Amino acid sequence: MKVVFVVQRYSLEISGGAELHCRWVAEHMAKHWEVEVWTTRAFDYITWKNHYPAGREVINGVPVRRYPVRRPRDPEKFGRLQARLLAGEHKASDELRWLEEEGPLATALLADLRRGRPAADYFIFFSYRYYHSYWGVHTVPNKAILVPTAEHDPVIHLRLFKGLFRRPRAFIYNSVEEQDMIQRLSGNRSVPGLVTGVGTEVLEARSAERFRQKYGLDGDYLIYIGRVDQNKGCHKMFDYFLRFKEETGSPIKLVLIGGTVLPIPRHPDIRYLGILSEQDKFDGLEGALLLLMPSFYESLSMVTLEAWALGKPVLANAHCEVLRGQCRRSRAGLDFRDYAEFSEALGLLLADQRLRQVLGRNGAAYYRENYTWEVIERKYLTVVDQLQEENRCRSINSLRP
Amino acid sequence: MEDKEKGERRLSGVYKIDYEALDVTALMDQVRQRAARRAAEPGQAAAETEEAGPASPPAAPAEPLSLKKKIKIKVQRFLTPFFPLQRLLAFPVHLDLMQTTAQLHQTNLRLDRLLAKVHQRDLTQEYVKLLHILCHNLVAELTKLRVEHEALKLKAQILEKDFEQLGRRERAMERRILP
Repeated sequence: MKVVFVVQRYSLEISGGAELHCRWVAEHMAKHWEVEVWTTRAFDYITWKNHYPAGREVINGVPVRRYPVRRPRDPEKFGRLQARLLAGEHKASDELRWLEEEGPLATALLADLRRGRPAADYFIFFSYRYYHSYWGVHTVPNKAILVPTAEHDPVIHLRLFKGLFRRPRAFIYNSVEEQDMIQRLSGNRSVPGLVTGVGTEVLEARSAERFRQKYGLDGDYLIYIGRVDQNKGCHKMFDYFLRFKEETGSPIKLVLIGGTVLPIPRHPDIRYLGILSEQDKFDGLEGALLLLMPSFYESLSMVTLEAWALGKPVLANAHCEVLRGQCRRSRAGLDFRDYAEFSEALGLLLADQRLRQVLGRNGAAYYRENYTWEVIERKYLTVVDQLQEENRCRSINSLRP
Repeated sequence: MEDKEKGERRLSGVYKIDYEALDVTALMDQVRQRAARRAAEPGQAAAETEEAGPASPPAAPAEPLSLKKKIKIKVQRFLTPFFPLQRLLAFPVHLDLMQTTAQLHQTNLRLDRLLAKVHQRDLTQEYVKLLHILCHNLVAELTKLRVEHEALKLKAQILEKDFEQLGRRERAMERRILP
């Protein structure tokens, strides 16, 4: 069986989001199917400018076919158009124009999909909101499986996506909350879907001591891993953390790992370490008391799964339904909506070691049951097997008089 | 280390946690309730801050009372136990009581009428909702029927054409076989 993964960007240099999700799944499913990736030549997700050479290449054993982006995105024009679109009434044609501006405008990719060459049994599209995935699903609806990676983003309420969510043969959702949201918005309960997510691999050799020595850290610390960005709720995290320290006089520290687009407050107990290697990241996580996850919009949060894999509890933003739901289902984390709750929950977690241990144990069990690669691969295989079964039934029905 | 132990002792008294079968939802409810209580008691927080902060300045000395005021205060203190008796003798309490009861009765009647209206409105809302759903279902069913009708019409046309074709074929074959 040949399965083509269609994604907006694909490269070893992309370290997060739907693109990394797609790469990991493609690499793992290559064991079971003949896999190919169709993507664009873009590296920059703001402009989609052609960066990589066109044509075929092989990345970690997976053949990749790159298509050019016909016109790069003008971020200012796009921003204005989106603001106007979200501000009030608009026509369906405006939404289609927004989609064209959103890009990536990989028309050659769509042409190949239309021609059906080279032939494939199924196309797995990642991220619902892009030009290529919208028109791709419309081009091959009977072979399309959509991994929407949807968040509580205002654009999901655009009318054109309501139709999109009813088109594919099947869905692979990241979380129960994502499934509920999409079904509520589009009424697509008749389209089969399975909550799957993505697996993670944790490094077995981890040392908290090595991390402490390398970065000169002593005492207990909380950890945040990810882009330090206002969209990720980091401004609130700094504010709450500093208020908590001021009110309680706690000696706890906050360690930040990841790129930054936000000024970090100068404080002796806030340590920003920048982008680190996987080894250092897992060492840091190993030594932390808990993971802080202040993001408002997440469709899954891989780093939360990594924390649970290591048996670390999580303190997450309750405004993000996915994070709150994951914490409740796993019984491995607490959540907060405002400072009062943050202070109370953090105070409880810092003071009660046994609670941290129990939450961590629950997290590790939840990870083993739902997010190891064996489980994820099995779920992908189940979805495709079900579609194959449906195809067989359809062909039998068509033969009946 | 001591601080930690103190903290654990403090919180173990506050939170009810079943470590064997941890219920995060119940625990979060406790956290939310406690956070809400803390947020709703700014006075307490202010008092705590004041205790921790520097002592407040001493109050200014009170002015000396005049003789007239002193006598007034003493008389008031002496008469305080007799105030209920004075009120009973001086004011027609039973009339007040009757009026209040009548007013309460009127208010009760008005409340009953309002409740009946609210109930009626709720019922109407429910009927409107049901009618809305019914309309929606009717539209959906009619659309389905129309699609089915179109499909059947199309099939009939195709069958008609096939029939005509077969007729023509039959006639042609007849001509060939029976010239």
